[in-house]
Amino acid sequence: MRGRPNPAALRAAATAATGIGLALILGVTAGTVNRVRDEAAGDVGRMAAALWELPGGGEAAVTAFLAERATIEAVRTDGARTGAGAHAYRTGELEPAAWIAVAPGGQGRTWPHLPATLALSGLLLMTAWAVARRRSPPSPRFPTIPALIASLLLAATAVAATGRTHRLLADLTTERATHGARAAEVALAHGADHGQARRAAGLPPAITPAPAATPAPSGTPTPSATPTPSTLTTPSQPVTPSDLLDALPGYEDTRSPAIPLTAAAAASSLATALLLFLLPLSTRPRTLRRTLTAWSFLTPAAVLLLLFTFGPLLFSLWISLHEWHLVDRVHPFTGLDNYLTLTLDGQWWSAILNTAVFTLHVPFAMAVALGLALLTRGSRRAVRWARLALFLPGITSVVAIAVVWKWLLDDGYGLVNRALEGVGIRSVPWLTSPDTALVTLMAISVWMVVGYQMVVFQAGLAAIPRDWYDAARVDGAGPLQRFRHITLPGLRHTLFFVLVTSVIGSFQVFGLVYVMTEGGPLGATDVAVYHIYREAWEFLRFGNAAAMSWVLFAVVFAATWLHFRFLERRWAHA
Amino acid sequence: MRESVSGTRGSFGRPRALATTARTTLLLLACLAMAAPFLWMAATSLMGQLEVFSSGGRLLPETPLWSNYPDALTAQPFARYFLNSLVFATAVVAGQVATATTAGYAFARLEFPGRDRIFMLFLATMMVPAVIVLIPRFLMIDALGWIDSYQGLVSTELVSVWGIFLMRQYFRTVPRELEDAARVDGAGPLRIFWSVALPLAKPAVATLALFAFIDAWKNFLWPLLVTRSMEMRVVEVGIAAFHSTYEINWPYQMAAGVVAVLPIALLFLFTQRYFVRGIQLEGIR
Amino acid sequence: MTEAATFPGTRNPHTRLRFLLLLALLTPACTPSPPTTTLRVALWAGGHELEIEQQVADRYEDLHPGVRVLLESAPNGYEERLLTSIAAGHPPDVYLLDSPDVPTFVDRGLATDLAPYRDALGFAADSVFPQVLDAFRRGPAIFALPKDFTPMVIYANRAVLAGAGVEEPAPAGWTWDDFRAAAGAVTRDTDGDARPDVFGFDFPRNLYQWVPFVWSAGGDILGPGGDIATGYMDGPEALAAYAFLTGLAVDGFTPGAQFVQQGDPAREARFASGGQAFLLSGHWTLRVFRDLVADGTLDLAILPIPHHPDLDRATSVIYASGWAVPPNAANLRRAIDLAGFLASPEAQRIRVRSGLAIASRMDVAAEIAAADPTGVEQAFIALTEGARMTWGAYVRDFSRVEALAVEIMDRRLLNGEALAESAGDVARRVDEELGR
Repeated sequence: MRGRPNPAALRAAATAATGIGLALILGVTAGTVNRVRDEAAGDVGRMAAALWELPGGGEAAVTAFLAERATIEAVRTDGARTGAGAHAYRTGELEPAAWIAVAPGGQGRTWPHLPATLALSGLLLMTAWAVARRRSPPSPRFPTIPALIASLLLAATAVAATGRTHRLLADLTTERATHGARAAEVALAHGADHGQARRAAGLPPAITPAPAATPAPSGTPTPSATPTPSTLTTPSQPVTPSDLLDALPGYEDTRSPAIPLTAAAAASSLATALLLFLLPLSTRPRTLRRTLTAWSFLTPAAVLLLLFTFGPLLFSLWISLHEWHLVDRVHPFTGLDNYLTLTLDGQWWSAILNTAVFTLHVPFAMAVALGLALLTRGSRRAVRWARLALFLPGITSVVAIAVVWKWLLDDGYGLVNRALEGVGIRSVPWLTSPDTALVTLMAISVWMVVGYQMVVFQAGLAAIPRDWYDAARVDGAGPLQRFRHITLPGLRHTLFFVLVTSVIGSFQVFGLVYVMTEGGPLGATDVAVYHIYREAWEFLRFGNAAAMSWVLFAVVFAATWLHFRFLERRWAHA
Repeated sequence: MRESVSGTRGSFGRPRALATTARTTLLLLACLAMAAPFLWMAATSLMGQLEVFSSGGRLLPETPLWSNYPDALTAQPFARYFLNSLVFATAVVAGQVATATTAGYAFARLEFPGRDRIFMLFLATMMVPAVIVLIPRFLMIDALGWIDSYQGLVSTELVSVWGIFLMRQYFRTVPRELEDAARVDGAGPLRIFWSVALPLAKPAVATLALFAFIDAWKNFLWPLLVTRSMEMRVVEVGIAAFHSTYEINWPYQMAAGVVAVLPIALLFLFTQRYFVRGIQLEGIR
Repeated sequence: MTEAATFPGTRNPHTRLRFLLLLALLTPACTPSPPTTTLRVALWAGGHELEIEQQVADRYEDLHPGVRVLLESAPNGYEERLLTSIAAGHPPDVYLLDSPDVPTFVDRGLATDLAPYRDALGFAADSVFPQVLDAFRRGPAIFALPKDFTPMVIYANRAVLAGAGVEEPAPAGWTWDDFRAAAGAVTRDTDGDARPDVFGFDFPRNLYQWVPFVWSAGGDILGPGGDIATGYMDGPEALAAYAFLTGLAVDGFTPGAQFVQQGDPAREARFASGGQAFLLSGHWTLRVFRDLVADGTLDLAILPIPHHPDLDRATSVIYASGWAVPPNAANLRRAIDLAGFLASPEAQRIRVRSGLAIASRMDVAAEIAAADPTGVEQAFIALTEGARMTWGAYVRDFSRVEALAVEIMDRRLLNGEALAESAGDVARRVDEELGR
């Protein structure tokens, strides 16, 4: 008997997975705090450097500001430097003149009591469970209690660690604010003006929006006047700590470890649960061995998917709960607001509707593709080239395709309309009318995808043993009968595959719309993914875009589930 | 040599010949309709910049400007771009074939608890628009320090759920008898997969390899984001660069486009024989 | 290409593919790291323009040994790439900032105030066209050093006008009535198929194209604070401009409208081959026409935007770009110095060779104009006077306003809706967007 499964080893492994997760959480916490302490020291160093650079500043100003917390060092040629801090420059020079090293602030390296206690007790509980159960045979049921304890402890530790880190980072933010006010004070004392003092405090230029204008009394505004809706102002009051707190996002906002901690907790919960899941199977060695074999086949794909798809997907779920501008350093949490706005957004639902209508082209495409696949069976040279020709739309640059079709379908000089007029039919505004544009795109899409579907069908046809055809021919079956009784049943898995992937794919149609119509005219071809793309990249509302993606996901998932529910069973037993 | 499946070689008299002629005509027309944009692309690649759309567009260049090809391909370091695209696409093909055949086989043939639910979970990832995972993926690659490198280009593209699904469906189509025979002979699952199932799945593997290659070759947004320097740029991004904010150099863009299609066309011609060759059960036995 | 064909069909593709994968993963590890300071510059130059920018970068490298300037150009997809690299915390050291993107970057603190370094960089604010510099200024702060710019002008094909017996319009006092009359006169069928193949104009569908027509009617699209559209975008002056432009399309003086941002891909070629009399564009199109002008195939005149008959002059729109430095650039001082060089007269003199736009420094622009025998450059500079910067340089997320504004005339042309109605509706939605 190979690979006799060992319940004790499984229990130990599950415990280890939890332990690794807990260690990871503590490690990330400590790492974040240390990194931000250095970053904060760098920020204070930049204040000191600004003071050093003042005409009346120099070493005296730095000492007045930080006393012995800062050391001013010469810049070494090899670029090496001590600790955190900032470079200081002489006016007009590009190479730094000095390195101002600043000792990190904050509370120092204190023991993280609550998270560490939680983590240790969790680990102890799991170990106790593993040891106590060492000799007992595993029950045939999933060990719910240990799994629950492990994931709860991981979650609690992550929450506690996040809370603690936030508190420490908030302290650093306050410390920076105090230092900023102090730096501005020192700057003024060393002969700086208010603008320089604000810069020394690390305050960004203050841009204030112009006061609201009243609607014009529709006279003649002065069109050549330069508009100045926002201006830069330099207040001449002294800088206070609250100025900095208002103007700069806190470290707890910009460097929050919430996401990595959540990821660590989720990943190790998952790993623990998976290992525990194997435990009851060890009473059934055959099943366990099969399961392990299957997972050894699945692991490469599963790990990659987990890392580069499920992770990003969960992250986008997180984004969808925020007002998320890509380059803002702070993303306000808005709960389900994005989803609520979405339910009332008529344009979004019309985009969904357009997408659903667009999907109706799939059966037509499949029929044509199957016909072409049957027409081009065999491997004669001419057929080989024909297949390449049929496949060309799928590999030609989409931009070229767009131009050709626009050119063929132009209202004025387009060949299609010219031909229609030649036979006495009125020309059709193929792409320039809200009534026809979507149908036109569907037709072009059929033309684009049949080559790809044809190839998949051909692969599917190849899997049907030739003997079956030979046998049928011997029995005197005609071509239609052979198609009906051999080809179609033999292709059912392929047909199902093409149907499902094409429906999913057409719900995600983007490129064609992007290059042909940009969702127009008047939103007639605005499909879901194009809508999402614009929301994200043109209007830069990533929170909304992420929420839209999840709504679209729900729609597509429902459609696919219906396919599996009603078609796969029927076809599988056909 | 066995008779081809289509049965056109059978001699059934005149109606048969008529059908063949009709079939050939239909096929010719279809080919022409499908190849038209490519032919337009080729014709345009030989025109002058302003000739392309003059007076409503013309079909053929007045005098073919063959110099567009060397000019377009030297306007940017396309040799390097082709190398990058080739490395990228080849690695993606290798990765996707490896991950999809194994996972597809597990979903189709192996039995384990939760199989169909896990498969549905995999499939679900196909349903979320790719634009939305772009940012998180970029941030991950950046955190790994892989921006502007082959690792960065390739690592997120190594698994394709489409491919897993394709392989799963294909393995289900293939008759089970051979595998059962191998199992009786005492072969383990890995051995059955490698020496029985995989050789039978050649058509699907060829299809997957072909599409993985095309997808990688034509991928634009991801390579645009993760590469920065000219040394790492891929062909598709290079072609798009002829389309700037201010003008579109159609002839150059089309010339580069025609050259970029060639590797895919060659690959297609080459892989065809795998996905059209049928299974000969007794041949293997 | 031969390599492409070697792998799929070989007897055992898997081992070979794995080997290639391994090779792919190992390759970057072998590239040596640069021994010097590297400055990354993000820009959207393509083709010839990029070659010229490379010359500028080479010149900087010559002047500063030990510095390597890496141009990271993305002619297509520039904003996507720039935003993601900033979001990841690794921005380029210097980036090209387009005027409509100024608020997005400046209001979010993604551009360093370069005013304190003015003297060190030898940057004289009064040497730059004032409207151009203004786009990048907020009070005393300067957030980007202007690179170049262009006003929107009307290109006229003299041969087409002469062929229809239309006199070349005089730049001063050119009104909508004159423009319409000329467009109507040239529109005709030349090959006898009962459909026109020479047109007066092409329909300016997008806001960036039609905004000068609103201005040249004495109106505006937004109130002076840039925070309200109602009363402006649907004001009587704006409505007059919409009516004038849609009138040209409805009467068939333009080819069928294309309802996409990119517009009609055939417009330049149609204009150059004598199929269109007037073309609305910026300086960048000149480069496409340059060869035709040089060999005498194309005789073109540069004209102002026509204005409302009740007014005496037009107001065009200016689009500009400048070099900005993110505050968290890895090497801030060097980056600022490089930005200064990229905007310097020396760099601008090298750059004008690309012919893309007008140098932002008045002295350099005047030099170029003086050296140009055709007088075209001079005409552009003359048309810059009185032109104003795009609203996009002042209004945050202006792209949302632009996306809504195209509907006004689209709805008239596609659904026959009254302009006042669609403009009122769009103005209300723009207000919602601006209200935030």
